[in-house]
Amino acid sequence: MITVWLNNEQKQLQDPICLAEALTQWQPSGKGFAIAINEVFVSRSNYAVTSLRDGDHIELLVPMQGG
Amino acid sequence: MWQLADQTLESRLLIGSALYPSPSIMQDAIRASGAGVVTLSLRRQNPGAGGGNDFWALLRELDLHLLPNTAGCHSVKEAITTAQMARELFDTRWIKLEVIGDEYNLQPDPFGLLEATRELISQGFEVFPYCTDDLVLCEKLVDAGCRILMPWGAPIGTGKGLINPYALNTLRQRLPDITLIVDAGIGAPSHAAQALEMGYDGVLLNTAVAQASDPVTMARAFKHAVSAGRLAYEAGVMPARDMARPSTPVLGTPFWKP
Repeated sequence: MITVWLNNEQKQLQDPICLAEALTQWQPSGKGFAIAINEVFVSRSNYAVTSLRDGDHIELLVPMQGG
Repeated sequence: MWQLADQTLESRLLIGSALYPSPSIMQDAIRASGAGVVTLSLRRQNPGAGGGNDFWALLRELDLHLLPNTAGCHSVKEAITTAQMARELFDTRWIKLEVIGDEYNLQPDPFGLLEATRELISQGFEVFPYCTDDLVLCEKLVDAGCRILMPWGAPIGTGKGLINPYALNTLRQRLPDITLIVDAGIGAPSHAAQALEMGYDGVLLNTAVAQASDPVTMARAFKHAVSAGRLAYEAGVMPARDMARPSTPVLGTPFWKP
């Protein structure tokens, strides 16, 4: 098992696991989100080839009101 | 009609999507403003909550050009990563680049802003930098490849209007070929009209409309103010002078004795 942080919430995942598989478990709604891991942007086309490692910090951002 | 980057727009008002009393008032106010560009942001959301996508669906109904921002970013790295995420999420290369340097007045960090601008332009972004009205900074942003600059009128959300008209006017005079948009600090329609009268190409505002007692009517007021300001600029505002000069002809003045 590995421990990662999703928007600062602790999550346990089996090892090994890629980002696409983790997202299947977390089920973010729709396609309206973007991801960065350890402050580095990960494009949607790379979700399936991005392995998650113990201690990774994942930011999952959605559209929000802004000025 | 006017040109903003690669888009032709009718309105010179750019409007924000935050702080409205309700989503439906947001929609109605943005429609009433006549704005062709709306700003928005990205934030954390727990997976499955869906709130961000509800907002996103409402905004898409308006069918406007999107200008995502990097609000809340305090470092170059945060701003660049947020811009990259915004580009994928909103399918636009436009980014309103904010790199905040001071938490108290949300003043842009000019050094971080310039560094992030250079990197994002090299990555193909159309950078709309939220900047101070400092001439040298603005010149360096132009040197970095910016076609558009967005100097503040006053700190975000203060509604103080154009607190340094001299500096803003200097920018207009010295950067005649750059699209200049006053961003932040506008509180009343008269502030927006003043910016347009000075020759600014547009204004970007949010709080002044969203926090008005009646946001929809205020949006309409700003629409007219921006239009009036631009018309005045095109018509040529008379130069101010110190000496009074009668507007009524003095010839034939009654009761006059030599």
